[in-house]
Amino acid sequence: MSRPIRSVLIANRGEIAVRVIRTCRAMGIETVAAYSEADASALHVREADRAILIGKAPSSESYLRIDRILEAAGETGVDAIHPGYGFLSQNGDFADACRDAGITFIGPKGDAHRLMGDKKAARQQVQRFGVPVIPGYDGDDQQNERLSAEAIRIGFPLMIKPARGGGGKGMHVTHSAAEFDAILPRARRESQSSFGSDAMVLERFVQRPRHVEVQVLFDQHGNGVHLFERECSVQRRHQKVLEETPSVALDPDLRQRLCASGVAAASAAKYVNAGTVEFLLDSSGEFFFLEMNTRLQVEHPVTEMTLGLDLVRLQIEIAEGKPLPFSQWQLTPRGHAIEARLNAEDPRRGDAPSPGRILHFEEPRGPFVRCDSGVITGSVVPAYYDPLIAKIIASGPTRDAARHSLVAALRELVILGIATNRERLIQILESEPFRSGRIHTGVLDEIGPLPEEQPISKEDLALVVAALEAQSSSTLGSGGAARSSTPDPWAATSSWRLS
Amino acid sequence: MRLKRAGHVHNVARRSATAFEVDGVQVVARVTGTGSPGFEGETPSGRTRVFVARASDRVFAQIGARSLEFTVVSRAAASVADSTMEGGLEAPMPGRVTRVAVALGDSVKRGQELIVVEAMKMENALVAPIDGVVKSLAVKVGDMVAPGPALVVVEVEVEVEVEGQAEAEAKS
Repeated sequence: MSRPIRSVLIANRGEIAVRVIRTCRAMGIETVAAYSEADASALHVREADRAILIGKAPSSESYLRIDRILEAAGETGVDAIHPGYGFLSQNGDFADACRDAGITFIGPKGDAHRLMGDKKAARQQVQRFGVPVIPGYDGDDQQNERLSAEAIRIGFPLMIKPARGGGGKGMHVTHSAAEFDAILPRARRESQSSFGSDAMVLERFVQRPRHVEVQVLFDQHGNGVHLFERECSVQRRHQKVLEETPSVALDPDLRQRLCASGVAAASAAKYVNAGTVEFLLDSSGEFFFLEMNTRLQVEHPVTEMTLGLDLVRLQIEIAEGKPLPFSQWQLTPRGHAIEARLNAEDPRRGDAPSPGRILHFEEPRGPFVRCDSGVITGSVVPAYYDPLIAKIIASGPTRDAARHSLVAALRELVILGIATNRERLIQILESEPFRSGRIHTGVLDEIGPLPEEQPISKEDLALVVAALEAQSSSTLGSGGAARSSTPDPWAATSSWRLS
Repeated sequence: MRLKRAGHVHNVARRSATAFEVDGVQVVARVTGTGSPGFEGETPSGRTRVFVARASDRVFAQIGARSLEFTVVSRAAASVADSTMEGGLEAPMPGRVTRVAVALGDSVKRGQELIVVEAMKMENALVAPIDGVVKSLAVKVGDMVAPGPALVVVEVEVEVEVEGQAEAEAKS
């Protein structure tokens, strides 16, 4: 089945919409931005060949409306829809609805989305294909003797959790069978009083886990490859902050086994297109299936940087029915790449979102630096969506070279008008745990918060005022007015006579 | 010019083409360049990039790799802030008011939730900074708000209570 794609509607916004548009442009494919009222003047709307309004600002009334998006696709007569990430990208019903409307969905089929969206079914299915899952017991036989036997089978350290529980309450970590037998009665009593049931679930406790994921790519002809791993262990409340490839935690043998498991998990879902299989890796090198993301990932650029591939182009070609243009043995990553997510949030105020107008934005430049931005100077970051505004990716022959490059790029990047995590990213990249590669999903607690704001020097204060004056005078100058020695209107209100 | 940052108000006044008086101390500094993109700043400590932008009374700057934010303080505003025991609360970020938990004239306790502002699916509660009375309330549920203007002002009722509060705090 081969059907060329000549036009694509992007059912997304921000940096990923812009990134998809760029590849389409390079491929000679026409682009349509489907946008909400809050995004009328957004960068992706400007960059697309055409744009169509699909609804109000809240995503439930625009970017999540299957009916509106399909109407827009029908009106604009596009061949295909790219869902980006988030929003409807993992919605099986959306994939089906596109197919039923005769529009190519650039991603897997509805069934693959639904299978992987059901965590329990996904776990059971990938297990049949030999993919390791976190060992556990959630059976109905709740006799103490049975639980003890299951505990020994699962292995230690082991977590006992109330079956009806939630929010981390009543969970206990045990390290031996004796300890398990001692704690079990107490855990049951707690569960009974908190949740009205003493049924327990047992699960292997993964200590200081790393988050390592495998990028896979499957065409419609049954050919599948992996594009190696990415490590995304630096997380804040399950949100990835920094991502890199390769992972320093893998040796060649472990890498081969992990990547093979990624391919097996995708095969289990009869997967087509680009996807990512996420694993938890413990300190002993044992890894367990976490979930599969049935879409393009935010952090896909690090893979592109080390393999020299354009994943969006490959997604489109697969959706067109083309076979994969390479075999596994032809893929060899080179060097190291790290991505930093620039968010509109204030690390000094509990990472509170900081939407608003960007008064100045200057992307970093230089060799092996890439900046995927959804904003430019003058853009407004709406309060309705994800705080991600740009991704800065740097690569180099070694991890340290890439890291230095990324730090330099983040120092060079200028963003005025809203608070961002720019300085927080630099702090993490320069921290001992990140430099040494001893990272895990809880590493940000180890690194600690951004230090208190330092007082500003008198010289810097003078520079700020000098620059404000110069800017104000050049604005007046460009308007045709003569430059005067006190050009700025607000200088009159600055009370320099006070001490 | 008076710039407020991290609770401190700084006085910066130009004295000559290359000299400023900053908080009573003479400082040599100048910027060159067109301002696009940014300026080159020069001080006795060295050269650095300087980017600035101003939106009403907020000033944003990046000097070298450091991000800075200031509020321009007018003389009148400075004296009000220094002389009263008011707690005027502004929105922590642009967003939508999803809850107004008090009414004009209500007595409130320090820490009591007054207004909830939601942005990017995160809720931020504005709480009373002091024990007092709601003296002004400028928003209702559904309003879009941004940092700057006071959304709600809490004023102390009786001075004696403030002293009592201060003593209680000192003991605890």
